[in-house]
Amino acid sequence: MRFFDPHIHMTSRTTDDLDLMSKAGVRAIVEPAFWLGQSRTQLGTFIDYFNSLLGWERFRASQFGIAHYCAIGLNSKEANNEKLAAQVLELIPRFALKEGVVAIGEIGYDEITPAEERAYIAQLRFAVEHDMVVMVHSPHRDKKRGIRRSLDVARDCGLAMNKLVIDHNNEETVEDVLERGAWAAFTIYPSTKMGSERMVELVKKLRSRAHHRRQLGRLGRQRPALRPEDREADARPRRADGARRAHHLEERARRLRAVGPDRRRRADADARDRPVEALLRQLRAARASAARRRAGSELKARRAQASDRLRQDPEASSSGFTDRTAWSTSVAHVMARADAAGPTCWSQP
Amino acid sequence: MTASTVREFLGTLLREREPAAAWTWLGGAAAEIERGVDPVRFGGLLSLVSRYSRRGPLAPTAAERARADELLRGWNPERWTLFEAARAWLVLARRDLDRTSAVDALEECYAYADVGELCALYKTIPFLPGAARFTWRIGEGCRSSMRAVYEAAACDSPFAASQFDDLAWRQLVIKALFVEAPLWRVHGLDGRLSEELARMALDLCDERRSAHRPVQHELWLVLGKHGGARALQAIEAELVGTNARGRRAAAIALARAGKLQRLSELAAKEADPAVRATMESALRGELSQLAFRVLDPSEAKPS
Ligand SMILES: [Zn+2]
Repeated sequence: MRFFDPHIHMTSRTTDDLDLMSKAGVRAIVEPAFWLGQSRTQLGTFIDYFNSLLGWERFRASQFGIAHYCAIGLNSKEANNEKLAAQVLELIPRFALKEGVVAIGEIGYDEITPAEERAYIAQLRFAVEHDMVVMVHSPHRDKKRGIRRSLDVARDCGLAMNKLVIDHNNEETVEDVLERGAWAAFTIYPSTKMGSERMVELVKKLRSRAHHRRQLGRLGRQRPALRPEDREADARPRRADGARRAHHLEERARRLRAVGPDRRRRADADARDRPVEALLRQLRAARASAARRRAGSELKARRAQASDRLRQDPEASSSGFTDRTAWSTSVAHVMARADAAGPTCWSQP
Repeated sequence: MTASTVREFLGTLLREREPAAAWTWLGGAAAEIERGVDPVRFGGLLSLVSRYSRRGPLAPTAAERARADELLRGWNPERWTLFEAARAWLVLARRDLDRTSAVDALEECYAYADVGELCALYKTIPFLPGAARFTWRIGEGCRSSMRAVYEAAACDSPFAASQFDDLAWRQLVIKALFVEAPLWRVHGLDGRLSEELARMALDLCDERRSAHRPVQHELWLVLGKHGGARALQAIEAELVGTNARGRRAAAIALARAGKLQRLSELAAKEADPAVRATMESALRGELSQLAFRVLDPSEAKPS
């Protein structure tokens, strides 16, 4: 099984965790910028934090065969220190356009204050201007209202709803998000957010709806790697049939396309080098090859090769969405929108 | 070598490799830089290379590598990427490279650079006028534990060997062993070996053996003809060990220490064909730092 974790804070993870993740099959991750448990007091610490997301954490993950991407943004909690927040917002353009950055995030509301809203709007505008995905952290207190407001404000700023991921949903909030056409994400975090059993029930209920979920990397107390109950839950969504999987393939490619800040100009450039095209090509090749050889030995060898190459060459991971993601997807990453035919469940043979 | 001849050379390589749309974008970005841009925009243009340039290795031909070495002795762009070449080409478009404004702008780039940009920036420095202005900066790169960054600062360029003082130089060499970067690619290594370096390497060797950990095979590259009896003892200990890569490296080290008679005795009774082959090539005189290339696990087949 290969996993893609779309929301994890590696800053609070040790190398042991990376080792366990790698052994469990995690091959690619997205680390959104967030609060570090205590608020920063200096601009320089933000600079170093963003640099670590683009440098050290990326290198650290690559040592375990894990491709590391990140989202850059000023989080809602620290948006309330207005003087510092204004300076941090000026940093965003210096980091957000870099190679490994796949979204603006996590941004949004914590206490739903005017200061939070100003920072949220400024970053939404940046995302719209640069055609980027936005990853929204939803508040824990007054969540339902916070999520509705996040959606309204994003819409008013001109953000396309298919570029918006709202995280930390629960049974009460998911319908609002799906109705607008945004992506609903769930954080599996038994004591405070969604529990695995609740998630499974919700997946059943929303079968043809949208959600993505994740297991790892919260700042708080948790078990280090994939938990048995998660694995059980992961097994629940049915493997999609051929036609449906083809649709999922396109959907995922569409989503990845949405990741780039300038897709029109990119489309003009050499298609062979575009990560999305490469992903599509490799997914198709991997599936065709697996079908040809039932034993799947060739595919296995390729995976082993790719993973060796990654371990030996830290730089290989600084090359965007490439062939690694072709085999890093799995049923563990479930994400779609309301207008999709079904959940994008991935399960490579 | 001047910055502008290197830029011209890189431009030729890029024009032949970039798709038309990317080349057009690069041209526009370079023109903007030539006209003068503020530091934020300068850094932004370097970042945007990843959106427009083709992704992949620069893959210079043998003739192009020879031309590179001609432009700057010790410069080997063999492992450069297209992004790096494009970013270097953009940096070299600045009109103020000999002034402090360029140093300040570059320092600002370093402060906000991701790994790919860091590598490109470090690889560009050897072409800039007034090398001494950048010695500290390259030293920073050589202190990095991100192997790609270390390599960009230390390897395939003559900068460190010609600019570093002894302390910085020795730290660079020993650091390579720690981050497992390819020391054989540090241009000028053979010319700056010393008793003090050999002592540091042998202390490290003792540490590794006390900890029951394998000795990095490139440690044997650091001795040269230095280290006396202590070095020979350490080499002999490696040769009776079980680590094939270490034994091959120690065999070359024995030749480098001038003990050819002893090496031919050992070669005569060597059972491992790979080790014997290395011993024989060392006896034939292949004992410069480049002889360690075949032992480099990250190296594809030599081209
Ligand atoms: Zn988070």
